[in-house]
Amino acid sequence: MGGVVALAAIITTLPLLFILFHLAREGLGALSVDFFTKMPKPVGEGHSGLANAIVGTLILIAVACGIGLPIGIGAGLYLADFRGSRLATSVRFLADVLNGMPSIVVGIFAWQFLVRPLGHFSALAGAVALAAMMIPMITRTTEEMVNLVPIPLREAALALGYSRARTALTVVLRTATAGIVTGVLVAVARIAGETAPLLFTAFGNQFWSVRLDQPTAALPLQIYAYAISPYDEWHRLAWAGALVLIAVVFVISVAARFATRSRFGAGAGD
Amino acid sequence: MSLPALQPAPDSAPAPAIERRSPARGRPRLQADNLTAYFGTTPAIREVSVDLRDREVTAVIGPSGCGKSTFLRCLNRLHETVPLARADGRVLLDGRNIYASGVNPIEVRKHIGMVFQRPTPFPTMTIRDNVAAGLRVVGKSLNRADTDDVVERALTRTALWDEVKDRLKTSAVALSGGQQQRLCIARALATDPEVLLLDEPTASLDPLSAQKVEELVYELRKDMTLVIVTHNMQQAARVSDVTAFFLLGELVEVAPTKTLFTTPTDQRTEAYITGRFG
Repeated sequence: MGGVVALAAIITTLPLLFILFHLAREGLGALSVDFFTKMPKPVGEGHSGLANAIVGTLILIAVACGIGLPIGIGAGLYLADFRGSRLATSVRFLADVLNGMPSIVVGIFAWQFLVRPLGHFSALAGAVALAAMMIPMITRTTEEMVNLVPIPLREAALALGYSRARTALTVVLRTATAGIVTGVLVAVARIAGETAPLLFTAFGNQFWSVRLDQPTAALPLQIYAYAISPYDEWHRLAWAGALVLIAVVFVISVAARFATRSRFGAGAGD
Repeated sequence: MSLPALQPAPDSAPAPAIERRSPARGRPRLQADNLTAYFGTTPAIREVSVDLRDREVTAVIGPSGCGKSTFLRCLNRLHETVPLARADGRVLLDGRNIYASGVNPIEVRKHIGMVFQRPTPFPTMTIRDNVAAGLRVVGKSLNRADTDDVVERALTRTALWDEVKDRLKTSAVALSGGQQQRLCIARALATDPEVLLLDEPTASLDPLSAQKVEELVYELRKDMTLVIVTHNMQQAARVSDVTAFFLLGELVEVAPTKTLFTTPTDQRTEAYITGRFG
């Protein structure tokens, strides 16, 4: 029995190890300064890179966070504070449904409400699609982390003459911050690699663009486009792009681990 | 310990400021009048009327579930923060009904400090910031030096200053349980409230720490009104001037501590203090 479950545990990590090994073998060779600083170029010109896609992904993540964090954290606070209310119960259920929603459907939502009325693809539409994916994740994490804050701690703040709002912001939210930051970073790591919601929102772009109302390149889109192309040179760029993307996600995950440690060091819980 | 008269904090709804008056020792400071508290439709305490006098310690005793904590939590309007909980009747602080319409419970709580069964230091704050936490909401903002003064005085008052003066900037959760509890008392005292409510403040402490808290309670009665809920009858006998006995949500008897423990008038009180139930 012990051997069987140990084997299962090892198999769990195999896909990750295989992916990392394969990515390193194929992608490392294509990584260069050019990759980070140069624009995509036609096949055969050489010295091409994915600078626009890297910047595009950063912009998409930043805007998605700008939209998703206040809404997600606010909704999480509401769910924790009014947990029994009818609105809270429905929102919690719908957030869970949205969490399991195929990401391409979320992309269709952004296409319907932003791309079609505006008449063109845009970075903003992509960011909104990504934010729509982040919000339920952040909402549920925030709720869970806030619920972990002991009730006597809230009551202690109220007993000092703190208002409900002040208690929520300066005591409850601050105590729950480490957990919420972790949840946010996990959400960012997840949306960073999302391709499907961007297909018909951010759309992709061969040129440099930092405008929110224009289509923008993004690493996952560029990887997709290059991976299905017939050229070896583009395949190598796709491998390198995948390696960079996974490195970014890995760094975020490690940061999330560190964020769970309290400001005053480990073991400062109770 | 002279903070300015308490004004409504900027972030609270406008409400008439509660004036600070100074009754003398033995004069009623906090009076419960026909106080009934509910959870939903179930009353947790029924028609409680009692005077809590200034510069006295009133102990509230009774078996588990008798409503003694609920009674305490009605005195600073904390009871109503629990969903579906509410209270009827009056509680007078220096003659003013804190349950009157138009009185902001947030203002009330600035005048009536509270300490809980388990220590509740704010884990994200340093020792100093914990003690200063209440100062931020009591009207006039103090500068750094004044705040440091108030923090030092509050910590000295709780006999904690010598133990923590070299690590004021470190986390409060690194302190021992007993130190945390005295820190919470210091936090409640920093704003100079008229009344201090203690809800089984030594229940989670080791005997030595509990003794320190008891000594502190005894000291504090020189200049304020204290109410202590306790499971421990010896503790009630040691620290209090007056003892109130609750049973099944009812205030059975209230009398000078010595009288209540030696010659109770109610049979139920006698049964409880001689250990026949509870």
